[in-house]
Amino acid sequence: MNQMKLIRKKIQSLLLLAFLFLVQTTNIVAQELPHQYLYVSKQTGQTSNFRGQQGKTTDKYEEGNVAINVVGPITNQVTPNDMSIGHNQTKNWQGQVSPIIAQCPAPGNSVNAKLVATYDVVFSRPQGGAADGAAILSTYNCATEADGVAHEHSNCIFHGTFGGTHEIVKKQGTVTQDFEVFSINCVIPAAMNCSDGTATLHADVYPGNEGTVTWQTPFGAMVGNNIELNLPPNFNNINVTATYTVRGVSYAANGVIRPNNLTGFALPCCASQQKNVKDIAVLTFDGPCHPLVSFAPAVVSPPAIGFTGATSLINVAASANAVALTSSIITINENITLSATPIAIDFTKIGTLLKEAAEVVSHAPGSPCAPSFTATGGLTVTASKKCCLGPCALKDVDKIDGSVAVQAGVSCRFPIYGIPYVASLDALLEASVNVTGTLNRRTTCDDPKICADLGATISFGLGIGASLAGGLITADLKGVVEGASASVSYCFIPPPVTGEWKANLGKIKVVGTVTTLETFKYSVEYTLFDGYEFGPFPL
Amino acid sequence: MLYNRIVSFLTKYIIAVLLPLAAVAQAKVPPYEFKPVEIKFSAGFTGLMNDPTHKNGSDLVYKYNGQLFDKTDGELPSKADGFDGTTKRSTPWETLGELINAYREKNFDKILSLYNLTTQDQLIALLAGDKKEKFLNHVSKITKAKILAGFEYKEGILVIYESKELGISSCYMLKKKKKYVLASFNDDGPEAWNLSLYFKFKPEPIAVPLIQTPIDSFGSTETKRIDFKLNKANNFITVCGDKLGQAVLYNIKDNSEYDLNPEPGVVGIDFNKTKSAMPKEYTLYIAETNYPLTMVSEPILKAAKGFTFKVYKK
Repeated sequence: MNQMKLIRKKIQSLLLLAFLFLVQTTNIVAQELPHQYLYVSKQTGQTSNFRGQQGKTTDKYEEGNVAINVVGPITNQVTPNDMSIGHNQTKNWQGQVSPIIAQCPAPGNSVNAKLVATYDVVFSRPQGGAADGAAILSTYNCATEADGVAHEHSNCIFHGTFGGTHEIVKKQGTVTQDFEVFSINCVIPAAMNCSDGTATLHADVYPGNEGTVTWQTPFGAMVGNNIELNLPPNFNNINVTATYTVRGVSYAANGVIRPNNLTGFALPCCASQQKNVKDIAVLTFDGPCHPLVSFAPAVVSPPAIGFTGATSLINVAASANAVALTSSIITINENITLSATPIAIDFTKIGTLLKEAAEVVSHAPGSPCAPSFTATGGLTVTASKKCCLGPCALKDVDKIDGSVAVQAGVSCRFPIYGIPYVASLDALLEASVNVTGTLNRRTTCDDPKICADLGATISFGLGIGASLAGGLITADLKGVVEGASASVSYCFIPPPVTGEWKANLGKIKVVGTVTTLETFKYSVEYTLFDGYEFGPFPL
Repeated sequence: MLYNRIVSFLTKYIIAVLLPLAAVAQAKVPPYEFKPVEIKFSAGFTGLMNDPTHKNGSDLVYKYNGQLFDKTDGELPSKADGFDGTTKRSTPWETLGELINAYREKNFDKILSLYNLTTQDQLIALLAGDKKEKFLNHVSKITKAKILAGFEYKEGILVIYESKELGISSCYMLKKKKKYVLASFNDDGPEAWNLSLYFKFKPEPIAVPLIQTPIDSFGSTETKRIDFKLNKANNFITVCGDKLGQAVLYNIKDNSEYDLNPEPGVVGIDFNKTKSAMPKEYTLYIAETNYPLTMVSEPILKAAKGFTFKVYKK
């Protein structure tokens, strides 16, 4: 086993790859080693190199020889140049691989290259090794070779005191090392980006996988790519140099930071809060390098409460590198109320509709249904201005404030015919509706409407006369109403005010007992109807 | 002279012989002839209790051993008919005949005697104080009473009768020692109630009234009068939508206080009285019945006629 390692190390040394290889040599016939990068600068003639060194002492069984072939624009050098080793010998090698600049591609390109090492080695190992293609030349018992000389197999480390069979084998194969040779490059774009008086120093470098960029500017040297350089106000052209360096190989480029001219200045049509003009200004330039722009005034504010009206027109100047442009903006105080108007709503219609619902329940239109009605509270609409964005617009907005409470009731007396022993029976329907609402709503830029549901509750009660035939036919009856609901909604803005009323009534049953003159007593339960939907009706 | 003698003889003969014979003939109570009978009517009118056991489609069908009377029979004799108020009480009709006669005569003891003992105690308690007098004043209004039907019902006989003065009534009888006696009865089922309602209204087939004043359209803030010509005076007109189970819009009896047209056989209804109709096209259904309707049912929709009008915004 140790002999195998020896052979492997020997090969790696010859290939300058001693630190990269851990696989057992006995298993290798053709092997590729990890890829390596080399760099050249066509501008400076600099190259990077790949170096290595390794030593080896063989035992009395080991010997070998290696031959190296090169493919691509690289060269290799091994010292000593003899890549063979004999029995019981110690040797140390040093090697280097270098690109051949003349054969390398233009800056910004790369080319592949490789070394191929062919080895031919002999060594000893315990019998029964892996089927790796090695040829067995001979065998021996390791116990018989005790000669008092210290070497790897003295006392037969593998088999112990009584020894065992070892074999002498011969093995041949190749090991390949791949390279990629980069011809490095560095380019500064013709137009450099600047924003708000700060330039971004950026160079396009090749290959960019490693290395650094160093900038030379009138304001000092800086290291890094995409770094920011604060420019002075009103600056002219500024020369800069970028040098890309990777593994000691450099490529330099010159560039110019050229300030562009301010060509456009615009502000939103309005603002409802204090704003830094810088944050809301829309600026255009005739190129990508934007110098620092100053604004006068630098801040715009809405008018204070008490200002005449709610808006103020502010003119603003923008200056950059001797170019001055102007724009304007309207500032708005949205809390300034321009007008306040009470909203007139005819809530009495709710009472009218309740009466109609009661009449439907009683199936007696024109019956003397007695209504009651009260309405309290009120709603006010206030007008103000609002700054809307996207698209920018100064809009009139309205706000509804206030509360309302409406109570309507109706009482209807009507006949029920469904009792066998009397022509008809008086029933008393009492219905009421309560509508309440508190509003504090404002129109928005996107929704110029204010519509709201007011809370509405409705109730129906049905009483049935119990005195029949002068009290001689007894009727203990009542009406049962199974659920009732109502909804009232209004749209206040835009005018005119429109409303809608809907109500639902559940099943109404007549339940109780009726006893005839001749004491025939009935348990009564019958349905007047399963339900009814009122409306929707406009209010 | 001879002529006068002949006239005198005939007058005496008629008074002495024929009139008593006629009175005796009319004093007979209707014969008691129970046999299997069937009563079938639409289950659609107001007041009917839910009776799934006897429901067949949209009809209620009741089958009993009993007796039905038509318009020409079932009348109980009165004193004017020569009925002296006493019978063997061997049929329900005889017992009922005695009861009606006792009503007319305000004979409370006789009335009590027609009930079983338990019910007698109930009646005495029920009609304590001035109620007894009120009761007798009320029931003595009966001039003529007519049996409508009788059925074997539970353990006794259910009898339904009517009078012009008091309308429909029902009573219950038990047979005790070959005599029928009246008894109180607590009925927790729908049958007797529904049968009583049937005999109250005697429902006729649903008819379609004529729209006397047709309308095509009217404004949402206008009230529109429509007059409906009935096929038969005093009937009900029903106006409804098409949702089953929902309340009908109008159910108005001809000549009632809610009929806006005083002409007999014509019912007037104001549409959109609140002047708040939603502008759209409406289709409503009309039907004419001799009984009240409060709920939309399949028989109504099947028989009713639709009419359409448009409400435009105004």
